[in-house]
Amino acid sequence: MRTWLLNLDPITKGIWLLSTGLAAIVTLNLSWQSAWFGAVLAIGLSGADWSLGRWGKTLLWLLGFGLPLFLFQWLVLPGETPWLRAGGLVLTAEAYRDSLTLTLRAMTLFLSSLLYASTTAPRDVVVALSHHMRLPDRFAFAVAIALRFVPLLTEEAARIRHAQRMRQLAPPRGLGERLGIARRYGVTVAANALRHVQEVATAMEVKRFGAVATRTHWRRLRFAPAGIGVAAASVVAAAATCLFG
Amino acid sequence: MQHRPAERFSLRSLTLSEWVLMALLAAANGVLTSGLSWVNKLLHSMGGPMLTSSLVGLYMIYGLLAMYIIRKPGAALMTYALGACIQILVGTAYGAWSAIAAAACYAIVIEPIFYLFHYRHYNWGAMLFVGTAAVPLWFVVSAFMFGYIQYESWVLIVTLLIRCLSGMLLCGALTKVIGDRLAPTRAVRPFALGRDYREHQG
Amino acid sequence: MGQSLSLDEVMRAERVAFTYLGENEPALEECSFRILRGSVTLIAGGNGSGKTTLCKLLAGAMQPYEGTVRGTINSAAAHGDSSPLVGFVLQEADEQFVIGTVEDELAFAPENLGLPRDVIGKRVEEQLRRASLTSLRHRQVHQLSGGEKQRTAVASVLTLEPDILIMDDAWSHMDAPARRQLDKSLQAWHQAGRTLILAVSRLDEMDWNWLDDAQLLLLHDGRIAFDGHLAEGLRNGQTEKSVTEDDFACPNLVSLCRKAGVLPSGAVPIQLQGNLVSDCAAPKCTTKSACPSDTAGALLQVCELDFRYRLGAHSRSSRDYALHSISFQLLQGQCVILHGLNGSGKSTLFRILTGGMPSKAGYTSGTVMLEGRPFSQWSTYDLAGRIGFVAQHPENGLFADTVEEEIRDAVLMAQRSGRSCNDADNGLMTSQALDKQVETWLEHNDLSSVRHLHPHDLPTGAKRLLSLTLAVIHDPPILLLDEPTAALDARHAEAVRDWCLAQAEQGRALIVATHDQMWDQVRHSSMRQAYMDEGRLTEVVQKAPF
Ligand SMILES: Nc1ncnc2c1ncn2[C@@H]1O[C@H](COP(=O)(O)OP(=O)(O)OP(=O)(O)O)[C@@H](O)[C@H]1O
Ligand SMILES: Nc1ncnc2c1ncn2[C@@H]1O[C@H](COP(=O)(O)OP(=O)(O)OP(=O)(O)O)[C@@H](O)[C@H]1O
Ligand SMILES: [Mg+2]
Ligand SMILES: [Mg+2]
Repeated sequence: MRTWLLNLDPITKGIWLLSTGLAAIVTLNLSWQSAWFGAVLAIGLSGADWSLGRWGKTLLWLLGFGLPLFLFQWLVLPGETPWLRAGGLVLTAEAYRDSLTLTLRAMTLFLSSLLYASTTAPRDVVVALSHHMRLPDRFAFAVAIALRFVPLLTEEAARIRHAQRMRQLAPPRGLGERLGIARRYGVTVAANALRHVQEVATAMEVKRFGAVATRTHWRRLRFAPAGIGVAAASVVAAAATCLFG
Repeated sequence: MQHRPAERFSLRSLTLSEWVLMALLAAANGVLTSGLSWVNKLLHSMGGPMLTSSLVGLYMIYGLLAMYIIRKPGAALMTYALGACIQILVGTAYGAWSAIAAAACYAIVIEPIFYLFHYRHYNWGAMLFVGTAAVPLWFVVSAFMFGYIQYESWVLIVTLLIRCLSGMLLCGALTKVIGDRLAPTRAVRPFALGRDYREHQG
Repeated sequence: MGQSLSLDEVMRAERVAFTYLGENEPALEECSFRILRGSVTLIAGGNGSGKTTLCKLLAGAMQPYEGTVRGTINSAAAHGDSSPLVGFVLQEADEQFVIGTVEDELAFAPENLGLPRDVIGKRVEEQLRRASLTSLRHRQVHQLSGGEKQRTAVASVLTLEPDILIMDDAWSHMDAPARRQLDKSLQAWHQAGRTLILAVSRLDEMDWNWLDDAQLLLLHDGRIAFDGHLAEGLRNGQTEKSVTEDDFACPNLVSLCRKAGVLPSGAVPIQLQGNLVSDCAAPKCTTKSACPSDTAGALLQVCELDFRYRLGAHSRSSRDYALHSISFQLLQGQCVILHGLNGSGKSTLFRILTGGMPSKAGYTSGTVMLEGRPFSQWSTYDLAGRIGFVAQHPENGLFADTVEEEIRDAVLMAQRSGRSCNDADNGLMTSQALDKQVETWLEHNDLSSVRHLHPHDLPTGAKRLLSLTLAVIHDPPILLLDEPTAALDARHAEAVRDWCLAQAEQGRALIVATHDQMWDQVRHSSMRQAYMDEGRLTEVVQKAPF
């Protein structure tokens, strides 16, 4: 069973993402900010179908950067009402509130973007961009190809690394050789990537990309009611945040 | 040579392989950004905006590199646009809006500069200048977006200086270095960089 | 511009020559021929003879920066609105994917033509069915096995339903059923009066009987050595019938083909010193006794090995095992021929045996022992020294700027680690000795003519020869070869096979994963047959001695 977030199309989900981002950036009110963070967390928990381990890692990550950021800003941000006094340091209530707000904002932005990325299939994005949003085909396909390159190049980098290890029969002598190996690895990965550029371009030409003015799109997106609901709700909420937050 | 870059701004002049190259650069940037995001977060937590700023040049190099290789109108603009899309789709630590805004700020500065250069100047001076010039706009925008604006003013000034330096070295200079290393290789043969190199050689 | 095409021609080449950028010698020279509407043309030629170059030129896929063409190529495809559609399947499947998901790849070409959606849907479904890819339709292409990739590549061009189809040796990794299926698809497609151009490096594999009246263009060193009808007797490879008198230079097509390397030397079985016939004297390789305790002589022991790929977030993940309770041991002097359909897990097994499977890629369980010690206790350097590995797609293992440098690096590394093939020079090698050794390797493996090329520019066959060379320079006791004869012409394939058996005689242990019939043509005492079926190593039987 695919959970509901995975079934949404990229466009309505994109509206949700952008409204969430906008609201988080606009508001400097702690309660609005926490509400948005809570909403994102709830959506993720109910719809993202992440494994427990993944949630654990993400939360650890959120805390890992959130906590130090929070403390740092608490120290740095200005404020009037002293709240805690430790040695020469003064921690103020205003700074506490602002810092918490800013940290929550960073976490909302991070989590929402991660949720969007992990639940959106690249192939749907192409259809969305070129068929439903009417962007030029070349742009839409450049996005699609870039998205394909990401896992492809990671996989290739792993293979190159393996091949390199299979060729390395003796431990490297000294730092110079180590650097040489690393350099060679980088150069090979880059050369491979650039080789794909020409290959993909040739392949597209051979398959008649751009032969006719309007391509068809075989796949269509389904706009689920849930998606439209989420998008509408988040737009309204973002507007409310802008007005009152 | 018949390959004079068109000086009129038109996206039609970009060929298919140039689009794919821009896609590759955008993808590389996506990987780099998400790969560096933990470094970045770490720096941010430790030193706030100042330390984070030291890496800022790396985040904008892809568009400049595209321009350096392709040398046609729209190359930087489109690459940044692609880059923003990819960052959103791959996941970015700072949210969708900041990806869009950052890319827009870089593109708004870099593309017109090259237009003024008639897409012809790619020497050291030009590259260092472009790398530095691309920084301030996004700095101002991001200061408002992320609330840095509340920081003390000396923090802001130091941050801006660090960013400019980073832009000059990690973006401008690095582009020049990488580009010149690529120029003789087979990989850039279809692009203006490779063509110009061959013309100079023979 | 030459004369325009006559009505029954679709393509005509007149004195075409092609020189790659930066080369002095042309890759093609003086090529003149015509291709008739509705005909089948076989472009046969050995490795490096120029098939890929010619195909790219015919398909119009050669980019202007790759080199310079002289002469004229007239193609009906370039004329007018009602021009025929050309489809081109490249030699390397990996090079022709654009979007990255199997079904989208299939839909990509017809989408570009702006065909209606239901037509595209029908075509996609049909080709998915024909290529048996239905269960893989949502898969990412980089997560496919070698043969599955090729099937996808072919299917993605067939959905275009071109009027002229050019295929460049695009079935080298396919298993027998897939080849039969392809044969059927092509036959059906050709019968509608369409033109077919096939580049082949092995004529002995082309037992498709509808190719009877095909036109044969035999390429040799970039020149057309023969242009005429494929004679009946040729394909059987037995009768030495003399052929058309227009080719007076070489009166015998069969020997001409042998010279070009597209037919095997004919001498079966091979001339090795070893005992070709034996009565089970050699120790048996067993799968039945799970995890045997006696380890004497076993170089490699695998016990209850399971592996499951972790599929990406967006594809429906299957719970299938890529490898399932695999147990076997590999003894010295054995050459295990690993058969198995596409996607049965051969390459996966190799990747695990060489320690190349990233832990992120999937879930592994079971033990692998090398010389009696578990893998984890080996340092990566010692492991690399003991295993010679040729991956199915060798591109990722090539690092240097030229072939010569690549080999020089490998020789130096082997020498440094004390694993050099030449025992004579155990001390530091003089640069002269090094040069000589590099020269020998180049010479032995037919790479001298391409020594100055970038490894990525090599013709596919040469890439494989190079990676085979690289795998053995350090003289490893175990050789794992994944499809070592794919894309090789008959002469080289035979040489590789014989070389493998010779290695086994010298006490090395080999596992060779292959779909090539060539291995079935010899009997050798050290050969073992193993079958992989959906991740299970079903049987390893001693072939009955003859
Ligand atoms: N990019 C290149 N740069 C320089 N020379 C090349 C390049 N590609 C091929 N060649 C040379 O051109 C000749 C023909 O190569 P081609 O790839 O056409 O051979 P092929 O018949 O397809 O071989 P194979 O059966 O191995 O695929 C070879 O001698 C090769 O060295
Ligand atoms: N990176 C991957 N991620 C997920 N599944 C994979 C991956 N690579 C291969 N597979 C799947 O695992 C199975 C075994 O693949 P493998 O490459 O080992 O097959 P093979 O026996 O080598 O086939 P071939 O003869 O076609 O090369 C196949 O079903 C394939 O689709
Ligand atoms: Mg070839
Ligand atoms: Mg395989």
